[in-house]
Amino acid sequence: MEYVVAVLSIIGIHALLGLSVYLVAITGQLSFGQQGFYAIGAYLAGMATALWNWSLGPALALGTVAAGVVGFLVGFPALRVRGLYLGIATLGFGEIVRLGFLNLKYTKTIGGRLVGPNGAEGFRHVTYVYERGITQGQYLLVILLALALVIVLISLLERSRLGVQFRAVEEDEIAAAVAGVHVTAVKVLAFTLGGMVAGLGGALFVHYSTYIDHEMVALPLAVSAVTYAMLGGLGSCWGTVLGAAVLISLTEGLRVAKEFRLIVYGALIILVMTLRPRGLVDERVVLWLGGWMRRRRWRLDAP
Amino acid sequence: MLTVQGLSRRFGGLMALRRVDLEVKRGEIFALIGPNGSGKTTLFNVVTGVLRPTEGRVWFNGQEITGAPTHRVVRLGIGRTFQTIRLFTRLTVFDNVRVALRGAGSPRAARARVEELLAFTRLDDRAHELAGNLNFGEQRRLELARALATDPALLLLDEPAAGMTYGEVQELIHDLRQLRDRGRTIFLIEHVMDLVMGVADRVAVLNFGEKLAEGTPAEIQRHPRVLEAYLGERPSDARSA
Repeated sequence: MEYVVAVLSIIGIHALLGLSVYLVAITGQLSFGQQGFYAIGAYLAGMATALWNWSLGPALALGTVAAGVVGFLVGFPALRVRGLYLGIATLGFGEIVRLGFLNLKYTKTIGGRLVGPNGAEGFRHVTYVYERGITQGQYLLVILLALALVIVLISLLERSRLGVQFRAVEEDEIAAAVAGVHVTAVKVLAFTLGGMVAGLGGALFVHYSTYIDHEMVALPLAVSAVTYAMLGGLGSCWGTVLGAAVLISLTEGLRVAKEFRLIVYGALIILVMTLRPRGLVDERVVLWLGGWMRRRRWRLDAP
Repeated sequence: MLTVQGLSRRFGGLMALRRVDLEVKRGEIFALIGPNGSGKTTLFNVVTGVLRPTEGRVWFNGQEITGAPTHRVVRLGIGRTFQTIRLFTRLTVFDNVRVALRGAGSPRAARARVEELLAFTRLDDRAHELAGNLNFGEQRRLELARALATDPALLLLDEPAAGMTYGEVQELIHDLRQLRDRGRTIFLIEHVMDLVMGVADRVAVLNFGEKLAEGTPAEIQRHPRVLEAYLGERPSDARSA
């Protein structure tokens, strides 16, 4: 049971990280730097509860907002590069953040323990959740609640005209501009929102694990995050959530395959991406589901 | 309504536009014709802020819009379609129009406005299809619906009849007249002479980036420099040269 709760917690947190890639990707921007926002959210929220005695809610909010502000700032230089070049530039951003935290030392001795980011040692003793007797199961509820809130907000965005503008920018920036869309504003907004969602994910993570260091927010995390969104599909935010759930369950479920685990994992990704280049939940699936639901509603409405 | 003054645009060593002056008047259908590569689409790109001019200025309703960003030009009231269709193929027909909708107010009013535009372009039964699944004629009409959704006072159409059948061209002529009668000014680039001569109030001719002539369709058809640009010099002139 504890194991299931742990896996579900990680799925929830990683789904948030994947959704931050998704938000940026639906405006046509490929980011390998969302783990940078995740790290900012994690470190700041962790410092807030462990060093400054904040309670959890404000700490999560701080991590979210701070990462959003950085996302806003990253959005502007990101306008100048596209596609793979943007991927590399954002990877550079992620590495800068990682190395920043590798060198950050800001510790206090609290109750005989050295608490706070301590360079390569990492940031230990983010024990807020445990000190207050919150169980793993209860904390899972917090994670799922946060994820549900984010999914609702993104779904509302996707149904709105603004969400349609995001996708218009993805497909053709000039045509979007001619449709009256402020392309710059849309792209910067996407980075801001993406930063916030990743920051929230990081803030939740550090309180789940009680510990974070620079290696946990390095390139492998970026690759996972992009894979959740791409494999899950860019047709709806549910695709990314599905992607995170499937991939994390796979890594766990394939433990029986021992050292072949990563080979099987890689082969499955190649297979899915070959058969469904735009991911599992692509635009066609979303349209088909939408049509199915309309027909159902119509049938229910009929006398 | 739209004033273009001394407009030039250079691409490296090529002068795509050379000191072009134009004036599109409110309520008319103005056609720009000229051989391929004469700078017609470049002119549209400069007017809509997709390209910056090398020289010259553009005014719209008395306001200078030279070099203004595209979305601002559009919000001031200039709508546009493209020569090669540029739809959002992964969005539905409905969303392709909705994305461009301006000033419709409540969601209910917005929905009604989109439906009205789809009805006008005879796409109402395709609303929930992906735009990429439409046939060519439907895609052209959807581009028109999307441009109309920005509620443009001035509509720029880049070869709207290209690739259309005779019947479709007749429908388009009918639609354009209807749009003009409802108060929209139309500025179009076209090769299909049936359309130009059928609907245009005035015509300007561009050749190698320069304006050759301007006048009513009848005047343009007789204009010696226009005939020369399209058909080559007359044999008698060639001999004397």
